[in-house]
Amino acid sequence: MHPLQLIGYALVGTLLSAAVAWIPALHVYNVAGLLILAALRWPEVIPTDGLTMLMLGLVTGYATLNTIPSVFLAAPDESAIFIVLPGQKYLMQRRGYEATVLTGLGGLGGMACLLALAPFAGHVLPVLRRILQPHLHWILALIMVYMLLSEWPKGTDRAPTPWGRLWDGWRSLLAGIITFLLSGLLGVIIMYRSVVPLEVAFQNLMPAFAGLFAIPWVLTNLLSQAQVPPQHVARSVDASPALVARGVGAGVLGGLFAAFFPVVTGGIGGFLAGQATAQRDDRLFLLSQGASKAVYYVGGLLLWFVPGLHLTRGGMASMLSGLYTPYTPQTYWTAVGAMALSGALAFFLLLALARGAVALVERVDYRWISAVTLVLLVVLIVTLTGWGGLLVATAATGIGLLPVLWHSRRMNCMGVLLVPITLNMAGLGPVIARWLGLL
Amino acid sequence: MTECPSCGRFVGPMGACPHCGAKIQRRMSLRATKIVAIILALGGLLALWMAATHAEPPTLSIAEITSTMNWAYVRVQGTVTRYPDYDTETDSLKFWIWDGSGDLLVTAYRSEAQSLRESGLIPAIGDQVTVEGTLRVKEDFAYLTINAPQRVHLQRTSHVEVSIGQLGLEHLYDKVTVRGMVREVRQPYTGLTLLEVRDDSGAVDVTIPDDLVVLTGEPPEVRPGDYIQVQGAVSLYEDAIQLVPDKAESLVLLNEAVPIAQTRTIGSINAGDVGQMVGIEGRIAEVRPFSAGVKYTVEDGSGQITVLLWQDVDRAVAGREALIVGSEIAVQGLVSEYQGELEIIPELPLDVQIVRARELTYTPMDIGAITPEDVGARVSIQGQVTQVTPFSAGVKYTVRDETGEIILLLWEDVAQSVARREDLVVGTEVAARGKVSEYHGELEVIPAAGADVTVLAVPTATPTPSPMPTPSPQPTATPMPSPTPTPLSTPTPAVEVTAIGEIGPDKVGQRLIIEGEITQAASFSQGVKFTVSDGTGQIVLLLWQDVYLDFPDRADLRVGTRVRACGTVDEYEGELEIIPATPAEVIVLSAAPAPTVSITSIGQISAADVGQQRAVEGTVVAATSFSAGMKFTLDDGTGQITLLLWSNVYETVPDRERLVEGARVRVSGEIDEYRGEMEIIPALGIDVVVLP
Repeated sequence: MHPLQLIGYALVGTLLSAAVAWIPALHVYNVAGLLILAALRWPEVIPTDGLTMLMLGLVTGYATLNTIPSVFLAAPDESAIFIVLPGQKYLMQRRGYEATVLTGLGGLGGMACLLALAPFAGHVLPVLRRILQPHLHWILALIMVYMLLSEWPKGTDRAPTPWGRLWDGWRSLLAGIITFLLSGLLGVIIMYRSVVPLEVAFQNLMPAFAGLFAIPWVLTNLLSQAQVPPQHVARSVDASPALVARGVGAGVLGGLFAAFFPVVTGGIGGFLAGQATAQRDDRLFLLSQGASKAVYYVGGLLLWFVPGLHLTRGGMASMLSGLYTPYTPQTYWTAVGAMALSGALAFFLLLALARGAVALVERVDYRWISAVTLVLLVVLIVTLTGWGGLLVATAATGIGLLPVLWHSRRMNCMGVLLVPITLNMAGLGPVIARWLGLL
Repeated sequence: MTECPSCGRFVGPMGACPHCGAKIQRRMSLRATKIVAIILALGGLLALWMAATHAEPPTLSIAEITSTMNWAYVRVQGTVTRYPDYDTETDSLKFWIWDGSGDLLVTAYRSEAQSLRESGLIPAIGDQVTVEGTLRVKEDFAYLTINAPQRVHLQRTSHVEVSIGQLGLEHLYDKVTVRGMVREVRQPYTGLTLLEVRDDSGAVDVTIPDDLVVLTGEPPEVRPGDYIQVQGAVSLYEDAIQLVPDKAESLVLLNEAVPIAQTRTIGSINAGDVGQMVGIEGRIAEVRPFSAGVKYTVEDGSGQITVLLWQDVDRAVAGREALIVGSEIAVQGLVSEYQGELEIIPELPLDVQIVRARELTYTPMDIGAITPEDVGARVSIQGQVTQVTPFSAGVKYTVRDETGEIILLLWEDVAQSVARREDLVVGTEVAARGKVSEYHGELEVIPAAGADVTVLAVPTATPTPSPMPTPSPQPTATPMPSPTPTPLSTPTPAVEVTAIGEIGPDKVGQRLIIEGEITQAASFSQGVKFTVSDGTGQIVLLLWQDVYLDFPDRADLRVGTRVRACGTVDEYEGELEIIPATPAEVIVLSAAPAPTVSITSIGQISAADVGQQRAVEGTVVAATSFSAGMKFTLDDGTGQITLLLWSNVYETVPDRERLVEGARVRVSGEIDEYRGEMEIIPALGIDVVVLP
């Protein structure tokens, strides 16, 4: 297929992402799974290389546009006021639009960095991979340990007894550790003996992720008592070029780390980079999260296109690798071009859709939107992965609610991937699975 | 509750007011949600675990695997179609199975692979296996990773004894037992050894991959001529049927012989036997050398047939000098037809056995008695070689007795098969028989086979030129009538050694004899150069590769050895050389004692040793070929070094067929460095000794 046609598919994917990205908790990989199943059923509709580019556009659009639901449709309940993220803080300060634009700017900067790094990827990354490959298991183990140890106690230190104060401080920490262990256990079970139907085994993780992240989000929204104040559409953003550069730099660092290392997601990468670069400013956080998210999602998929590397990182590359193999440098450069154009398109779509979201939250209660989303998620899970998938999602929802209700990091839910994959890399995965009677 | 009932300030989710410490009544909804969350998490996980552990993995046919099944845990059954590949570096095991609908790669890593090995669950070709594991599906490729070795089930079928000729595609992956003779052992590349095994019904290649050795041990060492029994599975390489032993122990050396050809009378062999292996026994009626070998006409009373020995086979037949008219031989070979004539073509020298050698009796006639009228007649002569003149198709020896001299012409193939050929030099006493011929007015005696030429006595080595060596006692010669004796020309010394110092550019083109001590040896792309010194000067003795290769005592050609050489003087880039045309023109007068070598630890060799001569001893751990030769990695426990053998040197390594991975070798050579790697480069093949 001609490169221009392929880029056309990517732009269509970006427009498609605009249609779905504003739905809270609906992940791009859920939509991609549906599209791939449809494409396999009707192969005459879209060729595999076109489908691949469509997915690239979809991911690029999603990486930018999913800022909208995370800012406008996740109003923090008053009970969580001490731990809200900067985006939600901005929303409550009537600056949701500004937060969205700052995040979008970060994403745009991240993609610009990817474009700049693209010529070097084929030379540097294969070498880097060879060096790091034998050490991945202990690097991932260190990340896990760091994630757990770096969480700080959130108690008030006002309990009357020492034990009470200890319990008060450790409550959220313990919740974080339990979340991590339970999600790890869930990961081992579904990776070794998934209960989803054989024909959709590639969507194995989808119900788990929906349960760990998406459903608790919408449930929290439903339980929330907060009222979103009227939003102000600002004509400028409160950020200097230097601040943008710092935020984007930190985000790109985290995003690249997440994209290159298996299992590490954009959230973990951004978290590590944020701590490494000592960020404290909310604006920096928004910018770096935007950049990290874009580099993680888009960069991770681009790694699959790099000639001589073909690194399968992230859910999208994993799904597509069963259908298509990008061999040529031409395909790689077409993907890079498609990414750049889709990224630019997504940014302008973000500006327009953010204004729409401002109008929407003023007119429609976001709880209603969350309720509809919850129904949609359940239907999607059952349709794609059957009742087995719903069982996985149910268990995962219980685990995903723990950090929400006990105010620990939701990132701990990534134990679902970190634990089984690190165990596998250390050669211990099958041993643990055998202990659990799974093998 | 979000505000403190006591102080009225914001408390959020806290159980106690952070400002005044008053106890806060929690909201029921949050508590209930927490309880529900814990129930969901624990109950859901328990239910999921039970569902997962109680479900049987689905059994799939390979053709049913689709890209959406990536990461599915499934069961597949099939027949192993290739010998398992075991990577010792990554400790991973791979093998292919086929279930009639398609092929699937099955892998096991580290502890799983180790467990399969320890529990004897490594499959062999032809085994029926049931495996469970996680499917990984790529665009055009799928594989299954074994996570639970205990879920691997092997069903080994029993072996059926068959003759090799019966093996066909219908037996693909069947387990069979065959017995036969090893005809050839070859290594097409490092990592694979092929044994050609034959019985009286046909031949098949038995493949021994290195993985078999790694996984099951070293099979017994076999050589051409050994009889073996192999138990294994039938496999296919391109269009050729092959046999792969199940394990090292499946290859057994037999004590008893296995017939590889049916013994027939010559008269019973007909065109219908073309392509078949047959054995005959008969008497050689005629010997006809030709450019690529020798044709022997063999008769047994029922008929006669041509036995064609290609040159390499003919030269290597044990007791080859007895392959003359009148000798009785037993031959086995493939029946062929050439220009309407049936031939038997033995493949190996050992296919030709001398049953009874005809006794040679010489009744030499006076050379001076041989006249042009004798052209076409067979005569015997005896005399002393006075001149050696190589030419493009062979060698002419001038042989003289007391009555005259005549040319003894040996075609190249005949010359090659003369016993003690290296002794055929000026001064040697020789007896020969052959047909008389005339060429450009000169009479020649042309033996038909090497056995027609016998070296009776060789000249004794003397440091100074001497006239004709004293003839040794000769067999009784019956004088032949000599109608027209050829008068002798003025006698000249037969062995005239030229002092090297006297050889100058004016001698270029002349044939001279030199004597001296080898002071230096070096190989080059086309052969070997020895610097020979006699005290008056030094000259390069150049042996082309074919001459060097044919020199029987080339191990003695080393620094310190005294040699006599006859050759043509030439000049190359200002350096004078003497170039013998045949190995017979070089004689070792006294071999230098074997050099004592001081072994250096490989670990001690560094860039500082570049250009120095060193000797090392180690085990070959890797062997690779490259465009100009072979590279071997030697390891002695202290380090590794590359042994670089240029092609021409490699060709002359004694026992080079044993120079394979695992062999222990001692090497002397010059140290060099290439791209940061240390190399040792022997000058000659004899500098490499494959240790027992």
